[in-house]
Amino acid sequence: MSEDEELVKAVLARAPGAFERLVARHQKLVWHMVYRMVQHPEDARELCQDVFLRVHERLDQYRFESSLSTWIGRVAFSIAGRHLEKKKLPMHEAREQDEDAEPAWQQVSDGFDLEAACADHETMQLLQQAIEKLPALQRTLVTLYHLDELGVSEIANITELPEGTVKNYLFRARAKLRATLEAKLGVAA
Amino acid sequence: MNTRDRELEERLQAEAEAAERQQLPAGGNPVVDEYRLVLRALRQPPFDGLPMDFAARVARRAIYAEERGSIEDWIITGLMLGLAIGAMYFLQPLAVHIVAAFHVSLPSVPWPLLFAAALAVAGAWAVEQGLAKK
Repeated sequence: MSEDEELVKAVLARAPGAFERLVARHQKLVWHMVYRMVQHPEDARELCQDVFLRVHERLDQYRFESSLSTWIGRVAFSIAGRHLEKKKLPMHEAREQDEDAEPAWQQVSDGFDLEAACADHETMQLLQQAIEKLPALQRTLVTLYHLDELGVSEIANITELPEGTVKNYLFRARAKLRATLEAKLGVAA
Repeated sequence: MNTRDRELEERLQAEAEAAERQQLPAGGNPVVDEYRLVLRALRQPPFDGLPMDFAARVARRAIYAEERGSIEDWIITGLMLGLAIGAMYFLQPLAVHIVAAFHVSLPSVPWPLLFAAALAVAGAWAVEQGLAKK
């Protein structure tokens, strides 16, 4: 029996402390997703709580067809998505503006020093701000892929998007972030 | 962005990912290095906004919600049952009148004949269902 299965069975059997263990194990993933989607700490905290209450309520419907983290991720994605809908906040960008733009690889700064840039607080802050400015869906996808290290198929499962779309969004988000970095380096040069 | 540009850009992104995974030294292609910086920024977690005791707190709330839910279920069932008994008690005289009036309005057909008619209708329906399946 897998760890997930054991834990789910313990929660369903009302074993003391089992649900707390489940929450502790998955709260980081849920926080990353929800916070990156709604970008409002207070709302994100409330929504994280709602996610786990929903998980507790519906755990008997979990059929072990995907990993528990994917299933919980799907609950989190749906709750945060509904929150954005309610607040009339866009999930996608109205129009992809980078389609016709000059490709980022053609804009190259001279003498880029990776380690110095990484240590530069201002540059990293600029990138963090650029991440926050990405459309909600792209922010979520890059977080799941790069921070939580989920695979494309798992992310597709959580978001119910085709794998090709997930890959496309990841590509665009990274290209956009590099373009932001490039613009900053261009100004600085 | 045309297909060629797109493929090149994808290759650069893949190279950056591989270089980060293998922790290769920087300084090769500046574009790849810029992508590596982007990847490092993406790996930084957002601030941890959940309280230390989040898991314990949510678990307590879930158990409380469940207990409250079952108590509410019992209360609702009790109220519905009470309401049904009360309704039966108060509506009994009226119901007796309605049933009596219904009985009076029925034509005086002998019960065996009614039973035979019902049996015939049921039989006809069963035959029709069987034919429809064929």
